Amino acid sequence: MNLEHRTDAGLPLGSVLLAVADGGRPVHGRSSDDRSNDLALLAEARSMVIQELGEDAMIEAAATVAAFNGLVRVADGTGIQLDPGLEKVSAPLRSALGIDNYAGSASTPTPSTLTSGTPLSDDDTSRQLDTATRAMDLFR
Amino acid sequence: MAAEALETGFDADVACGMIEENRQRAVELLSGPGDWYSGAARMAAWREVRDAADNELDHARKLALTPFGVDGAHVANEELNATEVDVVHRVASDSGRLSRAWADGVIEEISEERYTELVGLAACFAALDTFDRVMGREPTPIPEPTGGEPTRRRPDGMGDVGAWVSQTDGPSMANVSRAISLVPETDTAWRGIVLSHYSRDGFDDLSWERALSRPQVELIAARTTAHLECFY
Repeated sequence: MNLEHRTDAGLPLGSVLLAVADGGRPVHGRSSDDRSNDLALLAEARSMVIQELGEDAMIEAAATVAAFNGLVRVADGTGIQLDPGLEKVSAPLRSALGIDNYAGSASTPTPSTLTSGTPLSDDDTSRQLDTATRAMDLFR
Repeated sequence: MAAEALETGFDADVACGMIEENRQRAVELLSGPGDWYSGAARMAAWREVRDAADNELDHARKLALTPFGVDGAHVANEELNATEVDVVHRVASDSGRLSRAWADGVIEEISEERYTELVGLAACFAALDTFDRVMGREPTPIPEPTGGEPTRRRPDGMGDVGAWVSQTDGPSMANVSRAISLVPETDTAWRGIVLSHYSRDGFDDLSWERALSRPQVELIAARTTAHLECFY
């Protein structure tokens, strides 16, 4: 598998793990050639993950792709807003990566209108912000 | 394996067994009556999720500038009407481009409880099928539904927290954690899938002692959500 054009995000086997996610992408809207390529990529990535990290790692990788195929549909299908802490800490990255252009951004109109139900307490907002900040630090 | 478990506290057999166990449990729950739909209707929804992979209308919508500008309509099956089938197909095939206006129209027609259950079902079946596909194995057989009546119960404590559907109106939950709290039977199956496949009991822990590290898992997660163009 040619992984030279792929980033590894600075993580061990990062490029191969990204290949698992790419090969396992949803088939909707993909041509038959694209689907064949995805399957081939996935088969190679699967072999490499098992060889380098073990079958358990492959199961974890597949489980992650699966979980987020569900999480995305739940989030988008119910139109949930970004949580205040996450909205605040992710703003620069969302802008830089073009994520604010996704259709689903309409569910979070502006930060000031977040959560029209019971407002988050200051403690809850601080906790969310702290967790989100620590998570972002992992990737810096 | 035993040595690895002693060294890292991670027992791969337990973790992988737990994933499989939860998958089987979820399939059992989903094949039975849920909140507003029968087991037969829920299994019909699973068949529609699979059909979406090769469905011409879904394919055309996915490639169009807007999925709401394509002529054509899905047809009812024996268990779900055409609108319900359409909800399942849209959530399965192009969830990133759903709109509130569309959801409001559907909700007015079939109720927010039924809409929420269909979203949850499509998510569960997409997750179950994706795992099989990424592992390179045959899809899990869709089981025969079990009988019984749905609970038809709207839980207490639901409110407007800014989403398209009512959710638990409490201050301490992440929005995604309460997304389908309106349909607790379906939510139970959904949570079993997502917790076992992803966070387990360690969402707030940024260092996981698993076969993959937390950053490795999040890398896969980020790429997956990017493919699906999910803002959340």
